[in-house]
Amino acid sequence: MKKIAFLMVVILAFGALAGCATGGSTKTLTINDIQTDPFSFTGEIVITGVNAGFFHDDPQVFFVVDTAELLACKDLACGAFQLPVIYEGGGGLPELGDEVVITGSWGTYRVQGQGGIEDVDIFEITKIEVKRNIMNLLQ
Amino acid sequence: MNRAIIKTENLEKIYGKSAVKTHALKGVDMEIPAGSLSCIIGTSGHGKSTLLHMIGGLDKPTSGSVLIDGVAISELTDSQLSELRAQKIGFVFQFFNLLQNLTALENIQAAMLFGSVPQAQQRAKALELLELVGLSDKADAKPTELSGGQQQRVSIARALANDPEILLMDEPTGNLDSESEEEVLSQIFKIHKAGKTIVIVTHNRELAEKAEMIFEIQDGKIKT
Amino acid sequence: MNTLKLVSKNLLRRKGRFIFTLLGITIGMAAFVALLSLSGSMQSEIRKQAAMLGANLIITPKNWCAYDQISILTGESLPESLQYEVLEKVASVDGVTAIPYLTQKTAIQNSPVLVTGMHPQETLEFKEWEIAEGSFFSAQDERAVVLGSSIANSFNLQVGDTLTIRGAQFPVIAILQATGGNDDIAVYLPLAVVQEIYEVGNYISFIAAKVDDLAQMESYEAAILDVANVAVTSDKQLLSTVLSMLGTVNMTLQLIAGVALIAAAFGIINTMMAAIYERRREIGILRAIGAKRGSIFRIFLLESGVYGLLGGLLGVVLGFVTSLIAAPLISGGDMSVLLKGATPQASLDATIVLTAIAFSLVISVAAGMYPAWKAAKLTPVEAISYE
Repeated sequence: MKKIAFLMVVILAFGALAGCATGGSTKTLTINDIQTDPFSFTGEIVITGVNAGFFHDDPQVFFVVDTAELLACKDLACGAFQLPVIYEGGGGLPELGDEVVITGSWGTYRVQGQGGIEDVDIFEITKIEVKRNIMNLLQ
Repeated sequence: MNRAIIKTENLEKIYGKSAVKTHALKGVDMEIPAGSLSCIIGTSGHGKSTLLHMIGGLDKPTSGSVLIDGVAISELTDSQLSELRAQKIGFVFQFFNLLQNLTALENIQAAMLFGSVPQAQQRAKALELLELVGLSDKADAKPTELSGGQQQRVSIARALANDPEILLMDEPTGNLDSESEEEVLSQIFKIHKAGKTIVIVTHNRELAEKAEMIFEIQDGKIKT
Repeated sequence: MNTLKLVSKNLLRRKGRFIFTLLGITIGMAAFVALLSLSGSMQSEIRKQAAMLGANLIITPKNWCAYDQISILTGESLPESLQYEVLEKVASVDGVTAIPYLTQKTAIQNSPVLVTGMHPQETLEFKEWEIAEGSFFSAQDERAVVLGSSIANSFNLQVGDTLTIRGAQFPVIAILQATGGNDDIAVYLPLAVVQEIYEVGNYISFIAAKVDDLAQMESYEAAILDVANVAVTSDKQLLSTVLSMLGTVNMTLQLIAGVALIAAAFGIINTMMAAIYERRREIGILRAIGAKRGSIFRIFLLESGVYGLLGGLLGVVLGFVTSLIAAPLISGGDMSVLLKGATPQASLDATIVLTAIAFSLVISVAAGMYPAWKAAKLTPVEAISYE
């Protein structure tokens, strides 16, 4: 009987520890979370989404769309909101259709627009992690 | 004299199938009066123990019958036979055969469980029996903590748990040193004096000489 | 000495084996319980949201996909694609009370929260809200916010604090009483204000409607479709759509748990069979001292039963702990759609506990039947002769 009690204590302790451990992680935001009021999120934030395509003028700039929404409508082009992001960290740029977790903060980007040069808001990535590629899930 | 509490008629036992058969018993007739001390002796082999197992209902004969107190045990259901074993017959084996994970006291109580001694009385009665065999101080000892002789005495106490009329013993001192043998033998005589019928399979000359009846088994039959 | 005592002594004799077999069934049960608890709570969460809606009908744009519809129940923000005029058309149908919703998001302390634009007085009545602190909007376009109870709690906000939304400042004028539903996790502002700060023009996300006579539901739906180019869903349809999506996911998980349990059952059979082989002599002795076949059968069956009972109890505890850990970790893919708003809490109610233990007992006893029968079948002398 003593051994069983000991076992139970071990299990419960493990459970409690694990519970604490998972409780303290930084919140990962989805595109859906930030798209309507992006700048209310300040400082360094972590966002997850899918690479829906690159900016033709700059291979370090791409657009991220909401993962769940993409999986539901199954077409890279249907994401109503595309978040422009830039990653200047050298290698490690994601492929088309990669689901990524990006850490960074808001910045500006100089772009050649119709009316001349303008500064647009962009998400500057400091750290990028590719989770998986979902192109085959879009069939 | 006393009634024949145990009787066998043309008892036969064949082991094995087809080609390799052993004819252990080839027609054994015997009568054992109540209250007697009998010994079954003979050369080594399956015969002696087999006969004892038949008498105790632990095994079924190939043919022939065993009557305990006039009742043919081959006609009993397994359930009835088990009850008979619990209430009328006590068994003592050569290798003690105590339940290893129970204490001496609990071993005796386990036998009472099947003989339906009410739980309230079990402990008291079991202690009485332990005292009878001179081991009341070893009540909480496990078999591994007891000497061979002590284990056998507990075994005897267990056999007496449900106050049976008959005690069957298979080489009870076969595995003991001479000192322990003495202890056990004196127990057996004590019990016999109390009126129990005892049948012992044995090699021990001293014991055989003290017996009232001797049955010698040779080639599966009783030597006359 | 009674049968139960004999059984417990038998079980504890080989501590190592006892623990391992017990673990087998505990883990199987834990998986089972964890899944039941999580899925049960997700289901009840979703049902609760549906009930909280307070609406009988949901009016949405025609081209919405299932994802959007589900988002209504899970408390997501939704595209603003209905024109305001549609509200007036819907409201014009006799017996229908309709209120608009415009849902957006913002950040409070870098966490995303739902921002809902609505008509203050109408919504207050429609949803039968109670005010916990402060006072509700006094004008249709007051530039202030009212918080759901969870928002106030999570971010430690009180009446008088200021929130910044889309760069504009708003004072907190009231906090709602807890409703237990999605209303608790939103920040409320008048519709016109939300439309302005989010620059959406005169659009809304969807309309919630109540009807006077539930029996006439179909005729109301038809009437609405007549006057407006929209899609109409009843709250029940919405609920069943979501639940069926949840259902398929559940099935897979329950299958896995089922497999775990069967493995555990075989673990028991194996242990018992091995035990019988080892304990032949013991069985013979028991028979020799008068145990009936029935007693032997009972003893071994009871031993299996103890594994089941203990394993069930421990499994419930372990399963509950596991679901506590797993709940915040479930994310990604299709599941996230369902779980965004309805954060799965591990919920354990008496039904789950009792079901699990009963199930565990049944499986163990069933697993123990064959070995127990084999043990009882041994003849005494067979058993004793075994050296």
